Amino acid sequence: MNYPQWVIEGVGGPGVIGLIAVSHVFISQFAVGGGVFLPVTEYLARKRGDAEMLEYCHAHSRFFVILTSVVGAMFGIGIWFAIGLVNPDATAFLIRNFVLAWTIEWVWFFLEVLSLVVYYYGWKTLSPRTHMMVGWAYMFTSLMTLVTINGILTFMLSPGNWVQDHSFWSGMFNPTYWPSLMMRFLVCLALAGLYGLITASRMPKTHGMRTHMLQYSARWFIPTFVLMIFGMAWYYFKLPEAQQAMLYSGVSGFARGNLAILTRISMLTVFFTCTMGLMIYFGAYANPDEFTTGKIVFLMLSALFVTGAGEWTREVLRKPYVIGQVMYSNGVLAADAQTMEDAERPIVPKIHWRRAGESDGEAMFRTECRSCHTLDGYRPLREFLKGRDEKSILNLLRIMRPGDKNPYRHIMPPVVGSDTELASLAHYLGMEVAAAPASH
Amino acid sequence: MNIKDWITRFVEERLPVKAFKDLSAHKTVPEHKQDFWYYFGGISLFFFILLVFTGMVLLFQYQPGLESSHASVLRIVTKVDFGWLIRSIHSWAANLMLVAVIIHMFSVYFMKAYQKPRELTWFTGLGLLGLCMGLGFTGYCLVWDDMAFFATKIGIQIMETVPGGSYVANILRGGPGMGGLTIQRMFALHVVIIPWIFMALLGAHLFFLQIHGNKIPEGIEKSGKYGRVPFFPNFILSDLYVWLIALNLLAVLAALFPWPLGGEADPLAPAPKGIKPEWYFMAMFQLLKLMPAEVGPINGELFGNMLFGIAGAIWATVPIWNPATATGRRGKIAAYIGFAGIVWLISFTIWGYVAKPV
Repeated sequence: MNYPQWVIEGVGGPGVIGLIAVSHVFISQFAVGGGVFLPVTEYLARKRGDAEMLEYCHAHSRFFVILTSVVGAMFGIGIWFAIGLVNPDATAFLIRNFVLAWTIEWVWFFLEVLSLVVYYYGWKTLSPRTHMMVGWAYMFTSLMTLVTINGILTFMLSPGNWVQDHSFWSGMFNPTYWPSLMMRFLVCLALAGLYGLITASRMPKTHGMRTHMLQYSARWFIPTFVLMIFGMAWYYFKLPEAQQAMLYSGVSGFARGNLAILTRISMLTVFFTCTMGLMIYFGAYANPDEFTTGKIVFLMLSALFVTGAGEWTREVLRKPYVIGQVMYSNGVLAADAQTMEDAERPIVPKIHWRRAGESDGEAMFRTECRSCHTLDGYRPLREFLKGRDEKSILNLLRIMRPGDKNPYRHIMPPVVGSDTELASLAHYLGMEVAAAPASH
Repeated sequence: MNIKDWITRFVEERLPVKAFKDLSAHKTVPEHKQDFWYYFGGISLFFFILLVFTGMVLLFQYQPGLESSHASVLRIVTKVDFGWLIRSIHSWAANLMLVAVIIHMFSVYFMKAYQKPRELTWFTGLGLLGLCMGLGFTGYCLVWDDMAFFATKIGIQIMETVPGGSYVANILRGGPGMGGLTIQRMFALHVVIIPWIFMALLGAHLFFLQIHGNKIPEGIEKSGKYGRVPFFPNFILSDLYVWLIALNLLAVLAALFPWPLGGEADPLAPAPKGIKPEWYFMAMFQLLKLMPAEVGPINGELFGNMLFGIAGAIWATVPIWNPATATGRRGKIAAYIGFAGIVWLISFTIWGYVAKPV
């Protein structure tokens, strides 16, 4: 409410953030997993005196450095750009409350990139011992970036005791911190193996090292395949009760009827983890000669799907908050909303940034609805409100006010504003619903 | 003797294990830049296996009958644990199987894998495609919702325009009108009669494939740029890999886009606007819609059906009019016909979906 927002019709703000974030996570978790994969593999190669395996590490580090430090970093900046514009209040909140964590994160990140550059360019110039040490330094710093950012990401879902004591450490080491760290680390190892398969599959079939490196990379998926289900169970039991209930929600129960999309997608995440394990076994491990680059495309697509599904599940589990119990997904503070149960409390004066000529209704729509809805694209309001006139929309908005009587309170933020303001929002929405999409 | 040795000896003394081992050791599959087309036959088989399995599970709950068909499907998707998922997998797998079978047929056609000595593999394959469409048509009717009822009714009516079609239509409907007997007969066809014929034909198809192996495209064979990989374990493992890709696709479709169920069919109600057949009949349906009432002295729909008959006969008899001994000119004609077939199938299917309802 304090800043201008980026209004995106079509895919919507959450869609843009999601697309950039999933791409970033898919590469940055490889940066962490690969940070373990490269020095461990180099260590084994040097221990065995295996020059071909070292050559594989060199080739893989070239691919690694380009993908993680160029493409991954671009997506990283893209995330800041997108969240800062789509949800500026939440971004500002996280920066203010986790200054120390962000500082630590960026120090690790700087050291990570520095050690990676030295590692890559040092293949021919550094002594084996020094090169190995740089590799271990890269592994440590990349792991520390995960250890740090995991605290902020999990805080958004389960702030735990922070809600009472506002302690930095309570926020960082919140209830889902450790299970989330375990799951992310397993995903990092799996992605390291998957990307390792890409480099190995591109080696000539006549190269004896091809089969060895395919089977070696495939083994990196084993910890994930075996332990992921335990990580998921641990994570589930550490979730707040409301979020646990969401995973079981649906029209008529857990297995019956049409389960909520959240439940179905989380089921698919587990399923894909299993099928990917089998694909790696049947493809890279048991049949390396026939494991071509064409086949790995489908494996990577499956991994991208699991990454996207997992991140999407985590995001949706937070609903209706962007920061659990603290801030709703539209930037309204939960504490503010509680005092706004009073129908006379206005919200419009709190909207500090207004467009020229913007009506109160439009300003409320932009600040209260736009962070999750579009008119005709993602979660389209024209479709949701189809058939309702202004009066009917006003009645719906009144039902959605803060309080226990609001039936939508578990899935979306309450609508705040005085009676007059709600009428103004209903008037604006009524006009938009009546207007044809082509007029926009 | 440990337990593994005991089991091995037990089996080897009773079954021709050595013969199987010898056979699998010598069986190879060509490996070249177009070999991914070989997987579509296996994908079709995989979806068929899933259909048999999920179909059997659905049989535990489905009750055919005028009063019970729709109600039992409604119960499956709302009351039975994971019933919605099993039904959704069954419906999506059926559609994906038809996609895979059609791609398989075109790939075989363009590789000229119908030529001597593989003519029988081609004919049995075409038979299997026909049976797949029959399974789709009969299965679609069983849910007895609005769309299924009227689409089936219109489909059978189209059949009546062909000489002798009325006789077949009456058998399918169990009389002049759609009713309880229609469901009973469609059910019998869907779960017993067609599957049995399908299994027999599938057995023959796989037997012929086993005898003749996979065809290498002429250009690749002449260039010599191909190798051979052992069928067991290499090709089998590759097949399993591709099946897992297919399974992932099916899981996403079945879970995120559950197969819909309309309201119970009311035979006395007027047909809802925009009734359309399933996508695999859409190209034919759209072509029939374009037919005028009369083409010369012939009824329009009959003329359209005659066109399908002639086109189908030309397609099916390609091993006869374009044998391996034929000149290059016939091969070109066959390629043009194949290309025209793909263009017609895709364009008329899309046209059928975007066309305004009549």
